[in-house]
Amino acid sequence: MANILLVDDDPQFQLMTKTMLIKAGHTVTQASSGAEALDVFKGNRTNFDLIISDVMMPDMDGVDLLGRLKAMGINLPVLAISGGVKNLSAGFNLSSMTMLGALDTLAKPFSKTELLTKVEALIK
Amino acid sequence: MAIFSKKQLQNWLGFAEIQAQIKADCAREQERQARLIQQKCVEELISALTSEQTGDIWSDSWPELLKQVSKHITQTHQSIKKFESKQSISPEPVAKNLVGLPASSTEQNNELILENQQLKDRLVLSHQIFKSVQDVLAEFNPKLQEVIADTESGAVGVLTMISDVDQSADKLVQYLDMSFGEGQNMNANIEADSEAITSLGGFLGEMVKKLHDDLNSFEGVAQSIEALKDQVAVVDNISRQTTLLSFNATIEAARAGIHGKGFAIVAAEVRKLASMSSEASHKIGDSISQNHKYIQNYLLSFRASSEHDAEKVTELSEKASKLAENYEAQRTFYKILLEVVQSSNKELSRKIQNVYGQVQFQDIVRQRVERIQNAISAKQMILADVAQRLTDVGQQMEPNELNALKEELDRYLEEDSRHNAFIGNSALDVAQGQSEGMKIDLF
Repeated sequence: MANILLVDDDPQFQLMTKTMLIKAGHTVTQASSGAEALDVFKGNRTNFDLIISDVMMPDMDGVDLLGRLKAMGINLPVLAISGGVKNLSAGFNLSSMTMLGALDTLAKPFSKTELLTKVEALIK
Repeated sequence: MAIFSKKQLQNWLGFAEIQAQIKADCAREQERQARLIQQKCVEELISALTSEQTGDIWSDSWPELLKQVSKHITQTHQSIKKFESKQSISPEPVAKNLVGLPASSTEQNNELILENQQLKDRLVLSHQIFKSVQDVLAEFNPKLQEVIADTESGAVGVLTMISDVDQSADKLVQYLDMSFGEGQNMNANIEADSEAITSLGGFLGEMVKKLHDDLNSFEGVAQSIEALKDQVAVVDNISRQTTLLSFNATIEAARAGIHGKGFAIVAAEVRKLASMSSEASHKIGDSISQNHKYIQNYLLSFRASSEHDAEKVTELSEKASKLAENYEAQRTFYKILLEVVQSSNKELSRKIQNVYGQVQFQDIVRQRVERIQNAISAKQMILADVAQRLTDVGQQMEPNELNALKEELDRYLEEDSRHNAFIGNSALDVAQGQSEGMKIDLF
């Protein structure tokens, strides 16, 4: 089972996703923005197997987060999730994350099966 | 008829001398044949070495040919040795049998032995030289195989890298195509919402006009009300005169009996004032009524207009808010797009640098081939000299030729080992290697 960092600014969505992951046996650490996620890494918490990150978030979006992690030399697999906000489509957001190194993407809303299938594939 | 013994007959006929002569003839023939074989081998070797066709020089048949040359030389050497072993036994008995024969035969025999010894030495040295050439070629062959393998792997590497660059560029183009569509949608939304700004401009223009009209209307009302002041003054004057008349009427009433005529004049004035007062009152009433009506109409119109304006303002406000959202989205869109393009460009630049490094490595391979070519040229010159000495009996063989070949091979191997240090390294590594004294030219 994997150690996962979940980054999302929507509390309800975060709770739902976290519940899905925990029920599947994974350990989940939460962050509500890219800045918070970076704080987790600055605290020497680097033992993650996977990062699940939303794209549009306040303070620091997913795109910035990926760039910062790359600059810090952290090369963990990333599953990008997005529902398309601020008049930007989910397709554009997720493609941008892929271009910046995200290994896979998932458009919101998604089912438990879709989420766990992607997670299992990425932590192998 | 006299009877002779076989031995007497042999001695008498000089049979032993004939036999020795035959043996010597056989030996010469063997030597001649050996020389012919040797010369043929040398000619073949020279022909192959001096050929301008690279394919001939580096033919796979080379090692086999050299083996054959070596074999011929060894065989010749053995034949001569065999002949010499016979000669080393035979000269003395032959010499005994040659007693009484001309001294020249023995001298010739001794010269032949000496010449054979010289030939043996030359052949042994030639054998060593050819063996050395074989060693050199045995070194070149794997080196060239290495170069070919490096070239192949280098070419495959370049192709793989270029394919990778192509894929990355293609991915970026697809992303930009998709982003272009996204940007167009966003622009369409912004253009649609920007009409709100035009409407807002028109609406504000109307509002200004309306305010101007309203101001004019209120000025009219103010003038109308101002006009009432005159009427009020008239009424006020009437009031004062009525008071005065009333006072006069009171006085005249006191004297009524005596001066009734004067009272009649006062009464007439009072009637006149009453008439004026009535007229002023009507005018004031009319004016107030008119203004009241005007104001009522204006308020009705203003209420209707306000409701319409409120709807218009709400609509414009919504559109302006949406426009602001679209501008914010567009700002985010361009920020993300810029970051992705910047990151992709960095990645592409890194990959192209790798291709450049790999291409530089191919140039290093070219330098390796060039070194082999130079080494071959040097060896060719030495071998041409050796060949000349071999074909010219009068020339002495120089053991230094062998040393020169060995030195040339050692020099090549030392230079080539510098190249080997770079196999599998990047151009950057090669460039860093320069500081360690490596003689690699980079373009």
